[in-house]
Amino acid sequence: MSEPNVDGNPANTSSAHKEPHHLRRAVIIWAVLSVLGIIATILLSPIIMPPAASALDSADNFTFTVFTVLAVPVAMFVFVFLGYSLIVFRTKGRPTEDGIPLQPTPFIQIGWLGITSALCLFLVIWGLFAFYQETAAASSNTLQVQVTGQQWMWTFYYPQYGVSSQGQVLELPVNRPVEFYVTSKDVLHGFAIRAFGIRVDANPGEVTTTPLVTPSVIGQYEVACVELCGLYHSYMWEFVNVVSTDSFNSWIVDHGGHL
Amino acid sequence: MRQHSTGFVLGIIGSIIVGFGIIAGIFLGLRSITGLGYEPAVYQAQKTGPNSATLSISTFPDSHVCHADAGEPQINWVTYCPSTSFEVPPNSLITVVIYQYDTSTTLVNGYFQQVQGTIGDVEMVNGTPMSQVAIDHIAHTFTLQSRPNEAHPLFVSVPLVGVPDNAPNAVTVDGNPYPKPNVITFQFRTGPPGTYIWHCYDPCGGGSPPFGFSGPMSTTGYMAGTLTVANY
Repeated sequence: MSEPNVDGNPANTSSAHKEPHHLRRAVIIWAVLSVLGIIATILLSPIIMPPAASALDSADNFTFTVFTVLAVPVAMFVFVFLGYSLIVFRTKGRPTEDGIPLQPTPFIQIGWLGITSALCLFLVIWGLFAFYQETAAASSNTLQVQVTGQQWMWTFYYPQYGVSSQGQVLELPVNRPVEFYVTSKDVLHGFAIRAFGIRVDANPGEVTTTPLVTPSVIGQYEVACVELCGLYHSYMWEFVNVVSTDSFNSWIVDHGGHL
Repeated sequence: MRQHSTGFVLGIIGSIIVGFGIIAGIFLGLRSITGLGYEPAVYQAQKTGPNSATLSISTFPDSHVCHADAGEPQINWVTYCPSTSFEVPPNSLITVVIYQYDTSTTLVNGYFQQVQGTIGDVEMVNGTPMSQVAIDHIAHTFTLQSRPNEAHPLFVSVPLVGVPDNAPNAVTVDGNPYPKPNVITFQFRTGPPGTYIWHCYDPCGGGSPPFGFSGPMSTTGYMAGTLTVANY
């Protein structure tokens, strides 16, 4: 009986049917698909990802892209070797004996553990650094907004100006840091503004705060409840208007606030 | 004949009892939710001119008038009446008249003590204009809001003043005695056809918070519903 080669194939090369080099094939397919996947991720991310209206959300989108790029070769490794095995080594009949056992080598073992560890360590460090960036200290001109969730509407109060929002609108000035103090009057809600990259639970009887976020693009966005909260949960949303500083000041005065 | 052990027989009997218990639990559970979450018949505002209409509704402290066939506990739920599915004409001035028979429940979110979105940002309470109501004098709110991405957002929020706790029964509605109601009137304008939702934001559902938001507050047909702007 012949000894298996590194592919697990019989080493009898003198047979009429020469066995192809399966490992080389699979690695080439994996490499090509991984490169294509990475290119697709980089090109499609700006299209697929929601537009970012703050540096915080831009960083989040970039993190999503980087993590996806790193995940593509890993996912392709699994899919390609699984798919290759299913297609190439398929058999119609019931196997009469076990497959040839793999012969692990120190190179494979150390390489597998090393690459996996390095990848995980990189993700952890990246995550810690991103988290550290979100914990920036409040600046002197931070706008405070008290957010109250109640089935099924968000209401906003600006304590520095003594004014509440009117209707389903959250008004914010551009390029000014904002900190949201979020609570609920009834059940659990989830306060999220995707364009700003913030999301925090609204708990009855407690106040939770979001990271400091600075809207950087004038426009209209949406705040939504992201915690199933009852009958009209899907309607619990409001507009977020990011306006110029002058417009914001005018809005404050128009709604009875003081500058 | 094969003899079964006592444990085997007891197991069979126990399984039968548990099985019947599960079936009975499912039956009672389904029976208890009968009538919940239904969509009541549409109630149209009465047209009073080419671009005006009046919506005349009531709020009761129980469901004896509007849900007379309801069982416990729904028969004791607070409710809007005669429906919670309203229809009003587009591009019109809508006058809403609410006969408010219920007592007050302290508002937990001061935002809703303000009158918002009405003509002049006021409501008439028994003929007296008011722009806000003290949080402990409010029985319900009529808060009309837009659904996501509504092309023509509409927001109207009016606190409804409660009758005094010790007010004697003075009127009879469909054979049921109630105190003399507060008559609340306000106006707002509609735009193009669309569908909006409305809801009470006062914790009137019974019990202390957070229970005041359950029951009728979370069920269509009582303290929440829709307002459709449509041609008719």
